[in-house]
Amino acid sequence: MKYSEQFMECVEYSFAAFCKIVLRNAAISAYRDFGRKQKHEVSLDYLMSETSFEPFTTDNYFEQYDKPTVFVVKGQEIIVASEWLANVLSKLPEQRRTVLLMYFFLGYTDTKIGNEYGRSRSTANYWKHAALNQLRKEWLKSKDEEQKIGTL
Amino acid sequence: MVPFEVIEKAIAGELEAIELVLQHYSPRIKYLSKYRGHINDDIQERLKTQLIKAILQFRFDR
Repeated sequence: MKYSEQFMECVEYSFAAFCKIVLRNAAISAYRDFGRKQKHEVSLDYLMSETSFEPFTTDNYFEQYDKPTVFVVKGQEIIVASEWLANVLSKLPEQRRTVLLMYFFLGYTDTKIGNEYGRSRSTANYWKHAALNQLRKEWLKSKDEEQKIGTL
Repeated sequence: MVPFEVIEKAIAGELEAIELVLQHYSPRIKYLSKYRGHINDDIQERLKTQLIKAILQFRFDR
């Protein structure tokens, strides 16, 4: 499409004015927002002296558990800190437990696990899911037993 | 002023044209983003994004 010279000039002017207005308005609202934010900003030192509690925490792993269970997979020790998880894991058959530990603790891929046993990726995936299902069953069973003991 | 061809392309969303418009207005953006005597990068970024948004909304054939 062809535009007349005049029209093009007019558009140039109106575009320039448009951009100027946009920038001016954006700047005004930016100043306003920044001023509002700065009103609420407080120095960290000032906050520190006001707080009655410790402003930080330190994690302590394995401390609250008396005897963390250790599984050995491929020469690596895996420490399972949670007591019930360790219990349930130890009830699983050796191979399935190893697959689970390799996947979730050592970060192996399905393919890599399959290679360890000379099987395919989908087999490893199947083992993983079967092991998880069994884990869930075992866990529910132990929970049931606990409840029974509690009600008796 | 930004020439008409560039405006046409920028409105259609062509990156290079938008870049040109931004360049043309960068002194103004810098001037406006001075907050308490210093150029505030946050405000500068904000102005740029606002300008791009506005460019895409500009229409001259109405």
